[in-house]
Amino acid sequence: MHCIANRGKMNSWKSEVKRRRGAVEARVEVERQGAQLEVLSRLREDIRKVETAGRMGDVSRISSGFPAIDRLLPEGGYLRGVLVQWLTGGGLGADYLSLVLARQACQNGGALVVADPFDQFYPPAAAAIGINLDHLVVLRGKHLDRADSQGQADFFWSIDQALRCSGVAAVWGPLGKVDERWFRRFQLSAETSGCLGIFVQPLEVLRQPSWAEVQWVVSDGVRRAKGGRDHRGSFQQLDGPAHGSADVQPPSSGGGRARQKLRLQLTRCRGTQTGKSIDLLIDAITGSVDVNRVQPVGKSRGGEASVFFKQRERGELPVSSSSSLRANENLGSGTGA
Amino acid sequence: MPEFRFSHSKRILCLWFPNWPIQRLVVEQVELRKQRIILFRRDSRRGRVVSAASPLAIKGGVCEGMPVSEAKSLLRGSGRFAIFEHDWEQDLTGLETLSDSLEEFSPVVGLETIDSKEFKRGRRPNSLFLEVTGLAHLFGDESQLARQLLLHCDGLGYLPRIAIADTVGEAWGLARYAAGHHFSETRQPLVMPVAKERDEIADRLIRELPVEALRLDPVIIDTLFQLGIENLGQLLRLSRDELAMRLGDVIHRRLDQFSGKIEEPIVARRKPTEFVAEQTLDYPTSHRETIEVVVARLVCRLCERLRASQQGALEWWVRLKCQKGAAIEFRVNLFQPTAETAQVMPLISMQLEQALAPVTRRSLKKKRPVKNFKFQVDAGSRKQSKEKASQPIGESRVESDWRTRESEVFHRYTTTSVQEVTVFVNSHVLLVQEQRQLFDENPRLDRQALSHLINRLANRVGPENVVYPALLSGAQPEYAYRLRPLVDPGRQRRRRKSKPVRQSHIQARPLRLFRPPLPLRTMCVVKSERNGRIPSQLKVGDESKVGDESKVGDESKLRSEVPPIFLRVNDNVVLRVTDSWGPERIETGWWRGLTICRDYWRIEIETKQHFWVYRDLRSNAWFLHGEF
Repeated sequence: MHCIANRGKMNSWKSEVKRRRGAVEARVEVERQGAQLEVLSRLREDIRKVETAGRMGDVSRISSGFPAIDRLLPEGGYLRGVLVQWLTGGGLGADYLSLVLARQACQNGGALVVADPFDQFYPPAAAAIGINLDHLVVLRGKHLDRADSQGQADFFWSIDQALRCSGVAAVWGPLGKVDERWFRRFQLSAETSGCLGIFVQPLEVLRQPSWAEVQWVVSDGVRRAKGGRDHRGSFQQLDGPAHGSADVQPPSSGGGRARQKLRLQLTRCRGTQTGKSIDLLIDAITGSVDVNRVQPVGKSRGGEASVFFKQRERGELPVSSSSSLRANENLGSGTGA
Repeated sequence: MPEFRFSHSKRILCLWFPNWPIQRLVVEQVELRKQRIILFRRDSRRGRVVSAASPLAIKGGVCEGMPVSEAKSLLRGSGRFAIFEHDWEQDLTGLETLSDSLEEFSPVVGLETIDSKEFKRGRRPNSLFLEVTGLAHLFGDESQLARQLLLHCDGLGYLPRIAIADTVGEAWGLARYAAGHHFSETRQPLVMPVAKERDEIADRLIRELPVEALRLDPVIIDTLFQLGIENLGQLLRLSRDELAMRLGDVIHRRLDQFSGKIEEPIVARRKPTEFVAEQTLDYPTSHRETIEVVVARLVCRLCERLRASQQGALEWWVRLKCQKGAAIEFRVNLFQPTAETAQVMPLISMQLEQALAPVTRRSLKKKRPVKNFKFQVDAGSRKQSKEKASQPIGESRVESDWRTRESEVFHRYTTTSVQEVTVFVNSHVLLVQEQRQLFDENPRLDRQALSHLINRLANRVGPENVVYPALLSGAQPEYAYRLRPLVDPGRQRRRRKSKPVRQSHIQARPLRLFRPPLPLRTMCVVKSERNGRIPSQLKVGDESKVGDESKVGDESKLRSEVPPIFLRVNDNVVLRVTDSWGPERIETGWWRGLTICRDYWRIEIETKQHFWVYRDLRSNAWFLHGEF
């Protein structure tokens, strides 16, 4: 009986030892993982410091103005002294979202410079968004002659000077294609002054090397077999009445509030995973942005951006653009994923 | 006959530019030379009417006040013609620029003054006045002065009529109604002797001037014509009191101004400035660096004087007097007043480089003939130029030979060396020093940096391209704001704080507005089947149900209430509308011409893109005006 009792004690002691050992091991594992994470975060911070050595000391983040968009960005906002690209087909609300960001950037003072090469900027609408027109400078492109390269150089020089100025909080502009060297100059100027450069550009630019820290693609989120663009890069071609005899529903008269649906895809961002997208709904009356649906990484169906990434993975991209992208990554301004 | 002439010592030169808006346009756009040009204005009742026409267009039957449609029908049969909207501001700016270039002839140069009544009636300045009292000996005599002035204007491409007289009124009347005839007869500008030395011929010339030479109201002139009074001689025979009683005091005043009894000053465009520095070079030079050093020295000297009097300069002028040809002149406008050489000199250097570029190029080419130029840089060409200038200037020459900008460039190329450098401050204000914060200063609040940026940009790309928006209370989207240059010495120092904007409809207006609106060539609208109702389903290819714009009947009422289905921007792009909000009707702008009547729609097409389109209710045409 005594022997049996001793065996029972032994067993309980063994299980106790095993449990304690497990706990200790778990604690060690947690500590090890914590140390690893700490090391990783420290390394990340070091890398970030090295990469952003040229920038001003201001490390505060600028909110996009919409919490849903902020959540997609590392540390919940944009750094000062970076370039942000909004690629869109036009008429999809990219102007609105980007100008709200410009407004946010100017909240603590500083002027907003609007680069308007096509003479299309409409200030009353900007004022309705909340842009302070007292601190607004518009750079017109009236001197821009398409045949005259000097005019274009002067315009880009103006943007570069504005980005370099410490009294300017943000430079916003709908631009076409920007030469890679100019883009690099813009980036360096923005880094020097801490100014935020926000450029709304056509979707064609997606396949070109970029020096932007953050790149968004704004689309309608529907993938089509046939897609074309025409007329100032604004419209997407559809099958019209001349192409067939499909049934057509008359347009519904909105009647109530106008709402605009769009898909926002993060195609380039340092310090976070790219490819994330979000479906948004902009209210035309209040300007509020509601989240329709958050698309996880890799599950994004529509949009040119995902096609681009798939092509890139398969190596179907032209050598020049993919190699220059790689070069960008090597220089530390590629995607951080 | 009552005593008419009052003796005084002033001498006034008047330049009158016949058909000034057309002259200005042709000088600015050389390709319009020898073309039939029509300028129109918008009349609230009559729509677009002709406000000015080139001599060739006038020959074709076009006259002022004619509807543009009629003028078009007159000119359509006989080749090409150009139609522009009359830009009064550009006319005024052109005249001001020209007056600035005449300061080498007289220190007091001014534009013709127009009183508010005449201005409302549509009269605009088209003459310049120079006070030339005691200056004639510098040019030889008054006739030589007038000839040189004529050559100067001719070189710039303008064809003025010049007269010198004792008063502003007399000079204007003579330039307007006698100088052209006199020049065609004698090949000399009209110089009226001083009052005491006038002979019978001069007196007769004055008496034969038409009554319009008194700058009277057209109503008074009509009355005088009805009374059979057509010239000054007839008018002066009448009693002044009776004239005043019947026709008002205006005629009294104008007669006194004409005779010199009432002093009529010239409103100088640029007041004589106290901040001037000049240096004559011992050896004329075209070396840019040397000129820049001299300019920098003068600017530094002026800045010291400005600082001593606590003034900051807003507008700097640099004049480089060349050994031959016209002086090179440019100005540097600043966003904020300054008295710092380091801030001003980079801007001046930038302008100097541009101003001296042709001269430098020429010096590199070593007097080789310039390509694409009719003239060659040699003595022969100058002779040719002088011969051309000595030709009679009359209506016939206006028709046949508009001067081009080439002659201006030719002037540049013939200028060899800078002989004298003058720098002066044309506009200055009291300098207010703002103390900077010692700690925690936000770099974004650095106004100094921003003003430097604006100065740099304005001087590189032009002040008209660096602007700020000012909101206006206009319902028509195009007129709801105005862009004004940030760098303008005449503007208010501080921007008016913009009023808070109603933010209840944040996205009611698009952020991009197409200027001009893009016409939507073909527009498929729903054609009512029964009782004007929209059918539930339509076959796209079915012309009977979905009609082309041109095929649909006159159902404007229905159209304005029905949102569009298809928009066709051009033959290839068809936009299918899936949703629409509207219409928002805008009826406004009757004071600018025909009333604007538009129905605006916000539409969503199949690709979820949102656009702002409108239907012009007058023409029933659709336009794309903006994108969201």
